[in-house]
Amino acid sequence: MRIQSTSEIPYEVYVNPAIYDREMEELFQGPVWHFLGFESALTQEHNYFTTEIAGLPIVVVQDHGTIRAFVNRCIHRGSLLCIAQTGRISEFSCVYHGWTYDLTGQLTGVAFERGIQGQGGMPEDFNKSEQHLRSLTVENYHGVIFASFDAQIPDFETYVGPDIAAGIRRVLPRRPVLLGRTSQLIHSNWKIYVENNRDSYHASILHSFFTTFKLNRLTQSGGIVINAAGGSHISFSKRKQEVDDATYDAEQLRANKDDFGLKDPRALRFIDEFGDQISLQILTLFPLTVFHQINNSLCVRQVIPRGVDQVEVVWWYYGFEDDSAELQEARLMQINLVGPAGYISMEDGAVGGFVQRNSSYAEGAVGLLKMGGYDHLSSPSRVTEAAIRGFWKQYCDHLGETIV
Amino acid sequence: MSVPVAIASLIQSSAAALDALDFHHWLSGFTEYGQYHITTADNQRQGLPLGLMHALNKDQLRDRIASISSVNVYEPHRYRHILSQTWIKGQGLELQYITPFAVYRITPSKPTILFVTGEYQDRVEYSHSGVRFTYRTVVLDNDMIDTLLAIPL
Repeated sequence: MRIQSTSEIPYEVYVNPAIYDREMEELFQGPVWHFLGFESALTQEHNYFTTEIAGLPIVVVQDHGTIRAFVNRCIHRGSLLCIAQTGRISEFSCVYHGWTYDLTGQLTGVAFERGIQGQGGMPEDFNKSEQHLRSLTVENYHGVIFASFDAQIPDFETYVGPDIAAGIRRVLPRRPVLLGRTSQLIHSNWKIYVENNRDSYHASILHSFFTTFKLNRLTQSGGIVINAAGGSHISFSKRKQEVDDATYDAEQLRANKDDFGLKDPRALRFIDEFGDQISLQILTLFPLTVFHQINNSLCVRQVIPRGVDQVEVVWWYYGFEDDSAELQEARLMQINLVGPAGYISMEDGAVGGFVQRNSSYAEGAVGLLKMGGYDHLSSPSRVTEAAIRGFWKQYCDHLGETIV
Repeated sequence: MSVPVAIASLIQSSAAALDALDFHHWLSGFTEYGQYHITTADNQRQGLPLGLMHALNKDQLRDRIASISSVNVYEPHRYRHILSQTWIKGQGLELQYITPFAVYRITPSKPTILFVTGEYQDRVEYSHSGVRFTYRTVVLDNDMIDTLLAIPL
């Protein structure tokens, strides 16, 4: 199966298990950065939390101010080391056979290493000092912990490029604290979900709530920023700067329902907390991370592939310790807009499944990504699929055009 | 202390109304300033304020019903609530009526799934017209929502 053009994507790429296997081995464990969690979960010495990267169990621990991440797997027989979601430990200890590791991942103890009364035990050539948990490269970027399986990966800011880095710092002016977490299981291949996040064309059409309340019309001023690698992007728009409403209404979209009004519009309130009038910023990081700012809802979406035809999205809503009461109320009210139950995002949970159900027997058919031309360049227009083409460009740079 | 029949009946009829997609009847179970929240056991245990739905009065619930009835796009589906017996937790101002539940989701031409389990944590108020919710928190046992959560629980 070959991806001949970033504007024509064979549906097979969403259903072929051999492609999923390559992604697991070569893409997710290759030179890419993954979101792990917030530094604020590790404020106390020896705090740990467990998470996943594409289904691989990961444990993240703080030791004397250093944050480390390991595959949460005993090197002996592969059992999980840390079972709880969070906790405090002074060493890793495997429940299965009692092997222990210090917090640098170094093997320190093997139960009955010398056997009992000279019988049994490990062979002479087994040297504990040569044994280490599989460790990841970790970077704490403004209070958010990222990791990579690749020890040679460029630092996080170089990886995403200056424009995307600035967009992340914009929504991380201070250290983030978790306000709540939920998760959503979507019945589609992971790529359909991450394409959807890069698809600024659909937002005001599928999500009719957006348009009904003039939250995000494509005619609002804004734009698309795509990094040089192609796979990371920002889509943003500013509040109340509509350039051409007539063009929009003429389209007679289902989304424009004039008879619909909210009885209590508090959920739509926007406080310009970053002082730039930008009320919407969807920021994707290749391959599996999304930062959103929707009004005052701030969130990291952690995308976890769950087999070829399922993907879990974990929503990490955050705020800041010094949030005013007004700002905190805005963030709480806006949970009605975003997430699995959100007025303006619930459709994303369903539409991926609609594509997936049509992908299995597509007989060589391709999906079209020609809106806005053939490039994957930044633009002031959001009526474009350039950011999705950029995703496929970087995808092919990692896996080659001939995937299987 | 046993649960008054009127309160048990309110909790039952609220679930039955949702199962029948009779949102008007469901809304009638709340006072005008009645609050409604959906969160997860994990978030509640950690004292984290955000969950899945957050309504501070009945108008916001009316907005939810209006949005899912005429604006949002999703496959038609309905629920089947299975409620366990209501019990009373705490006393005085802290008193809550706790009702464990399981909710199945029925989507035409798909298998019925066990959608969520959890418990209702309710506070109520009596008036001349009957008993209504002033505060209803729906605490889900699991973080994970299959596909989406459009219709309240």
